[in-house]
Amino acid sequence: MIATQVSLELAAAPEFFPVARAVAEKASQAMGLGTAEVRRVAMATEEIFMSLCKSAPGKQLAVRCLPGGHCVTIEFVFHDLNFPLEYFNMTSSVAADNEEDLENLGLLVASRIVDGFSVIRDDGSRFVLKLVKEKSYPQHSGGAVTSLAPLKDFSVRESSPEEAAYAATQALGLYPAHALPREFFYPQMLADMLDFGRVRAAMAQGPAGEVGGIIAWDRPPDGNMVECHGPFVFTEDRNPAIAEALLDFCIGDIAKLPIMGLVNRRHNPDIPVHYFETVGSLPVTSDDGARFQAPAYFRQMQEDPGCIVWAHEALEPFLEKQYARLCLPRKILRPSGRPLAPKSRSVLFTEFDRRGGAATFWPVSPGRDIPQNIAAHLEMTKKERVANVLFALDLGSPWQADFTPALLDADFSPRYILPYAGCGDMAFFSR
Amino acid sequence: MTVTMPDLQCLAPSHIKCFEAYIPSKPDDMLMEYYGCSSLLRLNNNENPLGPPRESQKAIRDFPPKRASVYPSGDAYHLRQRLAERFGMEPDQFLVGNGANEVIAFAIKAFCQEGDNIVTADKTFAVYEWVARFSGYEARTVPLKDYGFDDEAMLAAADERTKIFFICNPNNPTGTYWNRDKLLNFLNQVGNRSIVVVDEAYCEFVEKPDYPDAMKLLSQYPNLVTFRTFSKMFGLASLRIGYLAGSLEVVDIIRRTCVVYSVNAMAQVAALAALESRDHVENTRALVREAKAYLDYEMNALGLSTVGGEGCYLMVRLPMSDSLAYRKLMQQGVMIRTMTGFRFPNFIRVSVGDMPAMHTFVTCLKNILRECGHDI
Repeated sequence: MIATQVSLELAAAPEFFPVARAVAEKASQAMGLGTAEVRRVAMATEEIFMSLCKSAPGKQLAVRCLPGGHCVTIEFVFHDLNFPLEYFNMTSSVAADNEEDLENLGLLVASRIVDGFSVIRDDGSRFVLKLVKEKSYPQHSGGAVTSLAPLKDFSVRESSPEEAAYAATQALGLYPAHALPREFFYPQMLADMLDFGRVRAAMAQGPAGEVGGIIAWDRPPDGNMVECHGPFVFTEDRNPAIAEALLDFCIGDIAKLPIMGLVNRRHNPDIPVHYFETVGSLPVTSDDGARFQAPAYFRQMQEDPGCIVWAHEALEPFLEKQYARLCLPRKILRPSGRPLAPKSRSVLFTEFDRRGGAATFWPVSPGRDIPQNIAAHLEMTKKERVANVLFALDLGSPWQADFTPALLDADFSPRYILPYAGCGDMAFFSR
Repeated sequence: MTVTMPDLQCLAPSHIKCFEAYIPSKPDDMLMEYYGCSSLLRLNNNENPLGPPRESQKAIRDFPPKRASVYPSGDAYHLRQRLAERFGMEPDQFLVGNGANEVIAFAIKAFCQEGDNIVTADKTFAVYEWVARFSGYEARTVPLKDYGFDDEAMLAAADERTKIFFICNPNNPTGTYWNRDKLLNFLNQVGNRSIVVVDEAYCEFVEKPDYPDAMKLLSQYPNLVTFRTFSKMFGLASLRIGYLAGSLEVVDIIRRTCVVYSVNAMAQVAALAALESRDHVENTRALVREAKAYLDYEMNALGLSTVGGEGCYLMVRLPMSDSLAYRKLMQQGVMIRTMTGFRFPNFIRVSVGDMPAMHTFVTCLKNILRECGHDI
C-alpha cells in the first residue's frame, strides 16, 4: 500500500458538495475499500459536508483522505463553534416534529454508517473530525491447534504480514478469546495492518522454522501509548524465555520513540508480569456469563518527569491512593468550574468491542446534560446487551472532570489509571 | 493584521515530522517538588563526583564577570593551540564545539547528503542516531555482540552510501571497548571509503593497556576522527565543551559546517586550565576504581547481574521495570538512568560517585527491592 493522503481545500458551499463527495469516494476506492464501504464513505462525507454548509456557510474547510491499511480515515478540518456535534452521540434520535433535528438528520446517519469517529478540538474553534471506515474481512473459522514440542533453540525477529497472520491463527486455537485482540480473529486484517505499519509483530522461530510464539503491538500515528498483545507462546513448555525475548523485541522497537508507556490489557499466563506494573483491574463478564478480573499491565517507557492532573474532588481520594501506590509524581488540581452555556449538550464517543461484549465511552464535549447523556448511553448499552461498560476520562483535560459526579451517581467506579495515555493520565471507570 | 498558522504539514520535511523532540528531565527543584524528596543525588549523567580540576575551578572563579559581555574566541583559538601542543598535532586538526554533541552534528552535516547513511550500534549513545535521523539520513543500527560493538556486522551493514561509522569506545552504557588490534583491523577493512568516528568521551577512565588511543592513529588513518569531551573526566558538563580531531583535510571539510562562537569564553578558559591539571585524572580514576568495585560487589551480593567494563558507570539488571525503579528511587532522592531507552529493558545505569553516594544508592535500592517483595 502506498501511504499517500489526498487533501482538498474548499469552501463549505453546496456547489462544492459534488467535489468533496467525489474525492472521498475515489480516494477511498483507491485506498482499497470495497464497493459497499466506498458508498458509505461517500454518504457520510456528503452528510457532514452539507451540515457544514448550513452551520458554517462559505467558511474554509479541508477534507483529507488517509489510508490506514485495514481502513480509510476521512478528516474534516474546520472552524465552527456552532457545529452540532451532539448528533454524534450514539444515543441521538431525531424527532419528526423538530425542525432542527431533521436538519441534522444527516449527521446522525453519518455517525452510524462509519466504524468509528473522533473529534479533536484545539484551544480555538478548530475542529478535526475523523471518520474511520474499515474494509470488510472474513473471520477465521478456527480449528484445532496443538502446541509445539519444546524448542531447543529459538531466535526472535520481526514478523512479516503473512507470518503474523499464520501465528494469529495458532493463537486463536490455543488461547481464550478474551486474551486476543480483534485483528487476530481476522488474520487478513492483521496482515493489512502490518503491511501498512499500523501494527508490528515479532515472532519466535525454532531451528527448523517452527513458529514458537508471537507478540503484536499497535503503532498509532499519534499518542503516547502503545498497546501490546501477547506474548503468546506456542510450545508445550510455555518457555518463559521465549515470552521475555518477544517482549524485549517489542520494547526495543519502541524504545527510542517518544512513547510514554506500553500497556497490555489482555491477560494471558505467558506475559512476563515483572516487566510491568499492575495498574488495576476491571471486572469483566464473558460471553458465557462468567465473571473475572482483567488486570491492566503497564510499563512506563520514559523517566517520569511529573505532571499535573485535573480532577473533580470526588475523584481525589482514588487518585491520591493510586498515585501513592504507583509512586507517580502528580499534582492534582481542581478545575475552576466555569459554567457552561445553558443550551450546551455533551457528546460521548462510543467505542464498541462487540467480540468482547464491551463498550467504552469517551467524552468529546462537555454540556449541561451530562447526567442525562450518560443515562441515555447506559440505556443504549443495556438494550444492546453490552455486558461490560467502561468510561475513559482524560485527566489532562480540565473540562472532563465535569463528568465525574454523574459517573459516580451512575454507579461507575474508578478502576485504574494509565499514565500519560491521553493529554494527561487516563482514568478508567466501570460499573 | 493577524497571520494564521502556516500549514506545518506542508512546511516541515517528512523526516522532521516523524521525529519527536527529546525532552530533557525537569530541573532538580521541580523534580524534588514532584517526587517529594528534600535532596537529589544525581547518579544519572556520569558526571565526575570530584567536579572540575582545581585549575579549572580557579579559572572559573577568576573569570571577570564583565567579560560576559564580550564575544568569546570564535574558534577556541588558544584551546586549539594547547591541544595541538599536547597531542603533537596542528591546531587546525581540532574543532571545538558546544559539547561533543555539537561536533557529532558537525561531522554528519559535513559528509552526508540525501540517500546517505551512517552505521553505528543499536545500544549505544543515542545522539549519532538522532542527528542522522532528524537531518534526513538513515541510521543503520547494528545489534551489540556480547555487549560490544560488532565490527563484522557493522561492515556488513554498510554500503556505498555509508558515509560515517560511529564507534563509542568505550561504549556508553555497556563499558565494552575495542582493543587496539580490533580497531586497527576495522580501520584497515574500511579503508578510505568512509569516515570512521571513534567517540572517546570516556577514554580518560580506561586503564587497560590494550585500549587504543585514537589520537595516535590519526596520522596513519586520515579518515579517522576522534571525539573527546571536557564533560566527563574534567567535570565541565554544565559549560558544554568538547572537540574533535582528525586529519587537516577532513577537519577542513567539517569546519565548513561548524557554527563559530558557539563555545562560551568561560568554557574555553576552564578547559584550557583543565589541560594543566596534574593529579585530577589519577584522583578520579582511584575514586571510580574503589566505588565501582564496591557497587559491583553489592549488586552481585543482591543477586543482581551487572554489565560494566570501563567508564564511570555500571549497568544493573533489576527484577522489575527500570522506570518503576526510577520513580521509587526518586522518591528517596536518588536519580539513576533507566535503560529502556537504550533498548536494555529492566536495566538501570548508575553513575559511579563517591563512596557515600554509593552507600546511599545501595541502601535505597535494597529498600525498593524489599518493598517489591524480593528476598535480599
